[in-house]
Amino acid sequence: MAVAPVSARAGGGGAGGGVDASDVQGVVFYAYTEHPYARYLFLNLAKDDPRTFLWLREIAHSRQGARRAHEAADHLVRSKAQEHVQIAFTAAGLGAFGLGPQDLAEFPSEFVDGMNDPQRARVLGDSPAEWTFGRPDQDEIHALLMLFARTEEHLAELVARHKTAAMAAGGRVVHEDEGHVSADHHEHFGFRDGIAQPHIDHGPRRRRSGEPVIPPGELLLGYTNAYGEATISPTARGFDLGANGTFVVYRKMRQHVAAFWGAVYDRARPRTGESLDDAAVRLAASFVGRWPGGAPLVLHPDHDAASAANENVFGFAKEDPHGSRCPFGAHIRRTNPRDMLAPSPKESLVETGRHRIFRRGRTYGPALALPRSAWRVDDGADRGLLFIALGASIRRQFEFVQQTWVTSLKFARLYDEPDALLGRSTDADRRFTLQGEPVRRCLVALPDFVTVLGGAYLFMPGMRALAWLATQR
Amino acid sequence: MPAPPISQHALTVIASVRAGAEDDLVKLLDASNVAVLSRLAQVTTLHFARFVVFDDAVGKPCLAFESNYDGDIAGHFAELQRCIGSDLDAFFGHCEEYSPGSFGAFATAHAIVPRAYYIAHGGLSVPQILHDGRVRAAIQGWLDAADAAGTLRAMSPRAIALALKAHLAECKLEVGVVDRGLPRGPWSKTALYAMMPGVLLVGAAMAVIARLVYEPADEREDAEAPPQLVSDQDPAEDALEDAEDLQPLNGLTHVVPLKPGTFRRAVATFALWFVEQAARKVCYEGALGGIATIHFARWSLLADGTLVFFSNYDGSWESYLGDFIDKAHTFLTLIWTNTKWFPKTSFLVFEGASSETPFKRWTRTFQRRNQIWYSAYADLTVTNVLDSAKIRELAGGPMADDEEALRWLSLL
Repeated sequence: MAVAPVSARAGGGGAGGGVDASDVQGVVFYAYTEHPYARYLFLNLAKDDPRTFLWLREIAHSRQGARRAHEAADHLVRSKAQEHVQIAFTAAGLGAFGLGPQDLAEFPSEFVDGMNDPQRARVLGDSPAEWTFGRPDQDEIHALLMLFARTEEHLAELVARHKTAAMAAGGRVVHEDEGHVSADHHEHFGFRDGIAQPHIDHGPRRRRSGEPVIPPGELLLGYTNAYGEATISPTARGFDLGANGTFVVYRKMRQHVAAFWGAVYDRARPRTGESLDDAAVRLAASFVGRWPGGAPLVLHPDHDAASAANENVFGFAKEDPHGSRCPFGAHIRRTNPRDMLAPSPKESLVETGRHRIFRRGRTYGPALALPRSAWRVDDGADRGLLFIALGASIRRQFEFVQQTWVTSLKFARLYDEPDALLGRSTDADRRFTLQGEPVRRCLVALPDFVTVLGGAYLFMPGMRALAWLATQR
Repeated sequence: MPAPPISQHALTVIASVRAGAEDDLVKLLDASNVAVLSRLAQVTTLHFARFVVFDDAVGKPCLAFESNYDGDIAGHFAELQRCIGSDLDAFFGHCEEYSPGSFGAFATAHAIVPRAYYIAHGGLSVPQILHDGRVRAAIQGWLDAADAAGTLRAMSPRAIALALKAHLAECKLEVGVVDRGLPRGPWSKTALYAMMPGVLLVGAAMAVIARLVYEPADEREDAEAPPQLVSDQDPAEDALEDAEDLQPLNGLTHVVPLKPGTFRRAVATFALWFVEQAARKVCYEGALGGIATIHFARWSLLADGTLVFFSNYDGSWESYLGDFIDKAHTFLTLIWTNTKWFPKTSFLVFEGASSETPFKRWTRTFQRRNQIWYSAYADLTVTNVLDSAKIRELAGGPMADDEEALRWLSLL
């Protein structure tokens, strides 16, 4: 199969041109934190069924309200809306609307193959056969509905409404997750999360201080990306289906809090005058690279600092060249190496800027109350992270980060250790090296702290594309 | 360890496959993969090797054998004959003019000298690399045990270093400096810099001619007959991906015809000559054009105008190509802009390999699947090899004070 040479898409790709935000689904730009109640419904749709098209038309229509709010680009209007509904499709889901392999020929293969494909699983270090949903032998996931509400009651009503509508259209809910926005944005290991987000140039959202600016083509199809090219926006039947769309990576990751804090307490070594609790927090922080409150270790090596809770302006190259403050295998180095990669800080920043992801995840499961020392005991509850990453290229962004930085045993001159938090103990001896003087300390035989329970690769179309899809019958 | 420096060399044998024998050969190579890999592991002087079948510029199927070996060619042939002699006969038996048992003579007759050859860890033989790995493993084991026993806490850096040295001596692991025969002092760099005015003058002249004559002609041709680059959904690309990332290291084979005409051949020859000079005189310690993940790489130019690229690299294809685009696009463009369907280029070095999607699609289009790819240390990156060598080298020091000890211990 041959494809035509890549060419810039007319309209969207102009350098310096603004983003057509009114055509973009809202969650692409906003985390909807004013809507702390969220449900993610994974649907199997009736293929080529008139009811399916009608169902989508209803959703696309009801989304018009949100779209108007969006056009106002007004924080108040957006946050006052009682609910937000966002929708994305797997490749099989686009097939439910009659788009065959020919129509999907311009879509990237990783999306067409799906997250549970053996090649993708190898790239990601996954074992899809062990998942609880999204397994190859289960009913296909076609669509993901993201439902956001301001109150618990409203969410219950919203979910009921959408389940009824989906079922009336012959669809079935094959999986659902409930997402939370936790207090102070702490994930279940107890660390402030979601601090380092890139900012899209020319987007509607205001830039927060310290957010690196990324061209819109890193997030949206059809715009100029970090290479100065227009990101490929797939056409189907002559229609620009990709325009203002993005790809969605959904991964449900169970966090084994007791295993994490148990391993940390077992290995913590209090300094003179330091309590075991403080030593454990210090050691746990070295796994993450930030203190529980968010302050990065490279700037605050000795204790947490409330003033630095959102600190995102720092590097590794000058601040900590030997990893003695923030170990080379720490999670925040691997997910965003900033200026630390060879051959130079300047080139490293260019490289990392080409592999950023936009996170819209939430936690799931019951939150734990302090003290952390009690977290060593497993309460049996299922809790973790609903990891949601958006981006214009799953392969170049999420997969690259996962394969080359997170799961690589060779990241940053290391020999044989994966990410301190996400690494899997498939080998008997999972290690984590703490660089320091007089000599490094290796933590050995670490258990798994995180297990992937399932996931999917999805495409989140723009508003016009959604309407188009609903009328393909 | 032996005193005289060991040098590594490249052997490239490319031979025409007999008419109609190509499918059989590919099947045989695929079926022999596991057995041949285990037999190659007995060759003590072999860093990397591959067997790959591809069509040359005129569409004729060829079998290529690539090796990176220590020492002299006669010894290499003898080792190959001893360990995979019958495999070589079976494989090259599908080629024209081959008679069993004659691999050495046949290879000599069909050997292609690379136009550019890069070695990341020159002077480190296979046994040396494996030895350095054992030294590091012994150190790590001792440190882990001492740490678990709690004995490290009261020790000074110097005391730790001396205890480690004693442990290595007990394990009978030799440490200290090994002469790698690398260029010494600033002279080799100066020699390259002295060439630069001439290089830039010739390069600039070529660039202007290209921009005025050849690049506009290519753009017209591409407009009339767009390049047939493969989609990432293509089955051929699936087969490539299936064979990748089975271990931390990978081997890339890329075969593309030069554009017709003497100008393109001259530019490619000039570019490869320069890369060869840079590889020999400046980039002999770990990185080529800022890329620190290539163990060995070579470009060979066949008489019929086929440009063949073999490299042995660390990590994924995506990260390797990312490095090409982010760090080395200028020289890669200067080389490959002279070949078929290469992405639109200006002045021989601009655009081209810095155009992400077209360059990746172009690379995949001309990439070929290795039927057999061997590494003596598929779990060691270039960085690992060089860091372990440094650890072994500094371990030879007297550890006279804490400062020296810390310099060494910080590498662990």
